[in-house]
Amino acid sequence: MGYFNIGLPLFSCQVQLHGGLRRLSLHLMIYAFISVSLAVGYRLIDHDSSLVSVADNMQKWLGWGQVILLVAVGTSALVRALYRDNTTRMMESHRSSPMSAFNIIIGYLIGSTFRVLLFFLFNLLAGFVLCILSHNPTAAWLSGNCCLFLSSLAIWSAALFLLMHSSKRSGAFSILFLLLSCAGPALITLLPAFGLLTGLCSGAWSVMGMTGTLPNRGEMGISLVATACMVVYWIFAAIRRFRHPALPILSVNLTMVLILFWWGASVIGLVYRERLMPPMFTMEQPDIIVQVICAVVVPLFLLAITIVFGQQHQPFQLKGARLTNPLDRLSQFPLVVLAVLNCCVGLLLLWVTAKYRTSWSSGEPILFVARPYAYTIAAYGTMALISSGSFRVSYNLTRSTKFGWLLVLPILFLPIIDFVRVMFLTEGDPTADAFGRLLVYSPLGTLIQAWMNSEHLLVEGLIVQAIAAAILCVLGLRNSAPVPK
Amino acid sequence: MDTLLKAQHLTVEFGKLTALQDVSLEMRGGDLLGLIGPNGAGKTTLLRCLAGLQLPLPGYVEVMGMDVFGQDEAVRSHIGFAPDSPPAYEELTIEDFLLFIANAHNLRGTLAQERVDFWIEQVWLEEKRKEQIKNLSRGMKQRITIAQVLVPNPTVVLLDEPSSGLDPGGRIQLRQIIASLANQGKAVIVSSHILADLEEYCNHIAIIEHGRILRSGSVYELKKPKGHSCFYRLTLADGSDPSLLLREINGIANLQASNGGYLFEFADDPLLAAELLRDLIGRKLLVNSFTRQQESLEDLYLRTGVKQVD
Repeated sequence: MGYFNIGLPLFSCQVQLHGGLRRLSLHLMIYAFISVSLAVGYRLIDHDSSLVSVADNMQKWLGWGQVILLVAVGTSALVRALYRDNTTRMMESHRSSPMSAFNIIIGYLIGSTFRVLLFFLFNLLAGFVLCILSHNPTAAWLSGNCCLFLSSLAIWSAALFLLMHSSKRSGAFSILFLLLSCAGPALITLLPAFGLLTGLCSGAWSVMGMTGTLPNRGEMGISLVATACMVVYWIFAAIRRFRHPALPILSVNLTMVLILFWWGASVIGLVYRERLMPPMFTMEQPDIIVQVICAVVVPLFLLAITIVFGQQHQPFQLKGARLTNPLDRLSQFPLVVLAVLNCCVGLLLLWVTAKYRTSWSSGEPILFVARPYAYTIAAYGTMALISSGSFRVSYNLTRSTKFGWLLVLPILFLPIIDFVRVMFLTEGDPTADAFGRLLVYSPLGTLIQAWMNSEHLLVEGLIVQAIAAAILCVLGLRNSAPVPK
Repeated sequence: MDTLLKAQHLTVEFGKLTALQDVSLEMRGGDLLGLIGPNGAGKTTLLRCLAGLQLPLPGYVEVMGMDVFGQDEAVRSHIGFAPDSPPAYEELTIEDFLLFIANAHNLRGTLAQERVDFWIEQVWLEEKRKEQIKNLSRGMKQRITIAQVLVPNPTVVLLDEPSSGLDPGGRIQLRQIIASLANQGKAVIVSSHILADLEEYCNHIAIIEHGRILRSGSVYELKKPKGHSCFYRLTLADGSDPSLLLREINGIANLQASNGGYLFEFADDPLLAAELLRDLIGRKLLVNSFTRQQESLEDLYLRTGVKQVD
C-alpha cells in the first residue's frame, strides 16, 4: 500500500483497481515473454533473411502495435474507467472530496491507462533495440513514439472532457471516434485545422517515424504544438466540467478560445497545406477557395451555437450562482462583441494567409471572403438580439427560458421552408418567391445566402431581422421579472 | 458556538420541477438536525446542495465561512456526505478503499492507517477488512459508507438514509455514532424515514415537502402543543370508535387515531383530566387506558398535513 502515499490518490487507486503494482509487473513479464517468444519464433521461421531485415520488419510491426495499444486499448481503458465511476457514482464521491480537479484528471489520464503505458514503454525500449539492430535511425523511432503519445493524449483528454459527467455518452463517443478515424484523412484535406487540432496529423507523422523514416522537423513540430495546445485545452475544459457538471458543456470563454485555436490552425494549415501530412499520407488537395470556406464556416457555426445558448443561460439561469472560478465565470463582454471580435481575428488571420501565399497574390480570395464576413457579423448581431429578446420574454412570462426556444428555433430554421420551396415548388411561382423571401428573414438564412455568394434580398432580410429583434427586446425589457439575487 | 454551516435561499429546479424553493438554514457545532418528508420532497437535493454537489440557482452554501462552490478545495475536507446508495470501488478491499478515501482527504501514512483502523473497528468490519467490497451484503456496504464519511473527520456530516439496509444491531450502533458526532461539536444532518430513530438522537427537526421547509425547530419546540394543553392517549377495551363522542366534548382538539388508540389535545391540568375521564366513563365508554403523553415525532409529522408516509 506504500504507493498510496505519493500525492496522487486517484492515480494510485486506479493502479490498485488493475490489481496493483505486483499484478501489473506480472502482466508486463508475461507480455515481455510472449513478445520475445514471438520475435525468436519469427527469426527461426524466417532464418533465410538477414538479421537486419528481420529486425526492420519487426520494428514496423511493433510500430503498428504501438498505435493499436495507445489509440484503441488505451482509449478503451479510459472510457471504461469513466463509465464505471459514473455509474457507481464514484465520480460524485471524488467531486465531494478535497482532491483537486487537476489531480483527478491526471489520475484518470495516467492511472486508468497505466497498464497500457507500461506496455508502451516496454515496446519503446524493444523498438529502440530493433532500430539499432536494423540500422534504422533511432531518432525516427523516438520522435514517432513521441508524436503517437501526444496524439493519444489528445484523444484521451477529449474523451475525459466528454465523459466526465455522464456515462450515457460512452457509446456516442465510441461512434464519433470510429467515424473520425474513418473519415479523418478526407476531412484533413478539406479542413487542415481539423487534422492539426485532433492529433491526426501528429498521428500520421508518428506512423512515418515508427516505420523508420525521419520526419520533417518543422512540419512535425507544428503538428506537435497544435496537438499539445488541444491537450491542454481539453484538460481545462474537463476540469471545468468536473467542477460544475450542470453548467453548459463549454463556457463562452472556452468556446472563444477554441475558435481562436481553429483560426490559428486554419491559417497554418492553409499556408502549409501540401506539407502538413507526411508524403505517404498526402492526398489530392481540393481548391483553396473550398478550403477557405470550410475553414471559416466551422467556427462560424460554433459561434452561432455559442451565441444562442449563451443568451439562454447568461442573463438568467446563472445570475444567482456564485461562480468564482475564472473558467466558470460569465464573460463580462456582451456575446455579440466577442463574436464580432472573433470574426475580425479570423479575417486578419486570413489576410495574413493571403499575404504569405504567392498563389494568392491577386487578392481575390480575400475579397471573396470579406463580403460574406460583413453579412455574417450583421447576422450575428441580429441573432444575438433575437435570442436574447426571446429568452427574456419567456423568462418574464414563465420564469423559465425554455419557451424562448419556441421563438428562437422557428426564426433560426426558416431556411427549412426554403428547402421545401426548392423541393416542391417551381421557379417563378409567386408562392415560391414568397417562400424564398423567408430564407433571408432568418439569421441562419443570411449566413447561408452570404456564403453561397448571393446578395439576393440580403439587406432587406437584415432589416426585417433587426425589426423583429427590436420588438422582442422591447417586449423583453418591459415588465422584467425580478432576477433572483 | 460559531456557525459551521450556513445556507441561504437555496433554489434548485429540474426542468418544471422545483426541487428546492428558497430554503435557508444555519447550523452550529453540536446541532443534530433530522430531515423528514415524503419521497421526492427535496431532502436529497438539499443534502447534495449542502455537500457542494448540486449548484443552487440562486443560493449559496458556506461551511466554516468558506463557499462550498468556490475555488478553495480545502472546504470539502470539512464536509462528509453519505448518499443513499453507497458509492465504492467494489474491486478493492475495505481497507484499501478506506485508505484511498483517507488519502483523497490529504491524510497520509500512519495517521491515515490509524483512522482507517479506528473506523473499521467502530463499524464492526474488523473481520472483513481484507474482503473485496463486492462480496459484502447491502448492510455491510452501508457501514463502509458511514466509515468512508467519518474517516476524514469532517466538521459537517450529511447522512442520507444512513440506516437503510442495516440490521437492528447496526441501527443501534449508528444511533450511538451519530449522537457522539454531535457531542464532538460537529454539525450533523440526517435524512431518514425512520422517525423513531430521529426522535431519539436529533435535537432539531425540519419537515420538508415540495422543496419547502414546512416546519422546523428543536424537537421540544415542535412537539410542545400550543397554549396550556398537552396530549392524552385513550384506548378502549371493545375497540369501538369514540371519535364522534369525543368531538362533542369541549376542550378536546387535534383528535387523531394513533396505534390502536386515540390521541388528542386537552388542558394540561390533572383535575380537568380526571373530570374528563369521569365524563368518558359516564358516557358508557369501556376505557382501557387514559394516559397523558408526549406527542411522538410520527404524530407531529402526521399533524403537519404531509399526506404520504414512507
